[in-house]
Parts: sequence; structure tokens; C-alpha cells
Amino acid sequence: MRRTGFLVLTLMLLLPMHSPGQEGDVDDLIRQVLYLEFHARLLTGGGELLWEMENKAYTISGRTVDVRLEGGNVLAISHLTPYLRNDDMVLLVAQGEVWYNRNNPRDVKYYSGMTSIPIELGESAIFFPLGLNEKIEQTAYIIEIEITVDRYTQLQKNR
Amino acid sequence: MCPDKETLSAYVDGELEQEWNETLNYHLEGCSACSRNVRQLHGLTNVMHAGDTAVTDALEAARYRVWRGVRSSCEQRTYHSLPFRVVKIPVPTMALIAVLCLVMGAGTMMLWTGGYMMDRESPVAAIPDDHQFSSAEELLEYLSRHEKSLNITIQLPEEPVFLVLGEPQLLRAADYRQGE
Repeated sequence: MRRTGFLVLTLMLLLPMHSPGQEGDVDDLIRQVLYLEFHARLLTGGGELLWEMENKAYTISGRTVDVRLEGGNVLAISHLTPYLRNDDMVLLVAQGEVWYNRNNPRDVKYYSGMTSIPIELGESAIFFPLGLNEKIEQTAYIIEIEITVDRYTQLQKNR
Repeated sequence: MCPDKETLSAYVDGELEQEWNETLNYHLEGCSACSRNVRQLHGLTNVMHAGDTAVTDALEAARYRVWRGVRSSCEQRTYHSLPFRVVKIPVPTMALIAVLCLVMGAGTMMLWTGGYMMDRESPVAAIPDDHQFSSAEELLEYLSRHEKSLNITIQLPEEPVFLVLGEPQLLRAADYRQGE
């Protein structure tokens, strides 16, 4: 009885050490890593590009990346969360928070909204934190963030 | 006939009129009982006056002690002439300042050594553009460092005045480009 107990205990101790799946676990984890590329642009109502900036981030499925845009009279924070749905699809959830004042510096307005879109991996989506009006005045400015989501492993292959 | 106690008391206090005073003096010369009463009343008055003095003395002593205390505390608070001005800081305040210094120091160190942490001086690059993770461990370490969420700050040009055009919108790039 004692010998059996000793054998069971030894096996329990040794089994975790012999872990053929450990490397596989890391590989699986690496496969969950997502690569987000941001392309922020400032456009006139007429579509003329005034300014642009690129950035990138690594995250995992379900972890938010906050993109903070700070301007003269506006602060827009976009909380972007990609959720891997299956092998080639990702649900991109975007929550936008905007603080802005137009005339009186003390009169700060706050807007918030949430939206989501399913996209394929490697595909791009465009987020408009300040909204998008079809009948835009020519004097208005549009802020857009183009987001491309792909797997980190795919990025390595492309390189 | 002997006078009553109130009259004797008034006599001792000197409150009787002159005429009555003289009459009572005359009576006291011949009446041992009234003389004894008057002596007792005088004794009582003396004791009371003595008591007053004791209370006054005690008050004086107390006042002296209080003033001595006030004077001594004023002397302790006398500041030295500049540049050696002594500023007394309570121990809890000192402790709080020390803790704040430690936290600020640690924060500065974290920012200094934070690697991919954002730098507010320049528009932030969460990861340097040319950066590539050399190993899976490095990537996992980077991800574990940003456990909650990753923050990227992009500084917009200051000049244009922005308008909020409506609800935030998220569109497929292909759809949006087609619509353009």
C-alpha cells in the first residue's frame, strides 16, 4: 500500500516535468497575439489630407488598446478591443469617448458611444471617434483611425 | 434688653447709624453675652477676610503660572534670524513627504526604464517602428507588462477647431472607400 502511494506521488511529481505540450502551449499563446496597426488621419470635409500618423501595438484577444487623440479643443479616447472569433475572423469593438469644447473653454461636452464590426484578419476598419456626417461642411475636419488587425504569427511570415 | 443677632451683625459690619452705635457701645460695656457674640462675629469677619486673601493669593499664583507658561512657549517659538530659520514639521507630515518622494522616485525610475512606455515629449510610439521581438519570451514579457491595456497617445495639430459630427462610427475600410 505504501509502495503504491509512493509510486503515485512520484508520478504526480514527474508528470508536470515531462510536459510535451508546454512548447505547444506557448505556440498557442503566440497564435493568440494580435498585431494592431493604426493609421490616424486628419482630413478636411473635402477629403484633403492635412496630417497623418502611424502607430502599432501588440495585444491579445480581449485586451483593450486605448488610442488617445489630443487636439486643440478635443480629447478623443478610443478603446479598441479585438476578439478572435475563429481562425480568420475578429470582432473589433470600439468605444469612443470625446470631450470637446467649441466656444467657451468651461463648457466642455462629453460624448460616448460603442460600436463593433466583424472583420477578417488582415482587413482594415476605420473608426471615426468624432463621428461622420454624410453632409459634411467643407469647413469641418474629420478624424479617422484606420485599424488593421492581424495575427503576430502572420506578421512574422510576411517578414 | 439685649439686641438681636442681626443688629449685632450690622454693628460689627459698621452698618448702624451713629445714634444706635453709641447706644450699643454703652450696652456692650455692661453685657458680657453680647460682648462675646460681638467678639465671635469679629472673629468670623476676620476669617472671611483672611479667606478672601487666600483666594486672591491662589488666583494670583495661578495667573502667574499661566503667564509664565505663555511666556515660555513664546520664547520657544522665537525664530532664529535668517538664514538659519528653524521650521518645525510634525512627524506624520515628514513621513508623508518621505513616502511621496519614494513613490515619485519609483515612478520616475519606471518611466526611465519602461522600455516601450509612452513618451509624452514626442508623439508616442508604443513600440519603436523598427522593433522586432527576437523571441517569443520577449513578446510575452511585453504583453505581461501591459496587463490591463495599452495606451497610445497621438497629438493632433493644435490649429483646427474640431466639431463632433455625430456618434462614433466604425466601418469596414473597403466599404468606406467604395462609398467615397
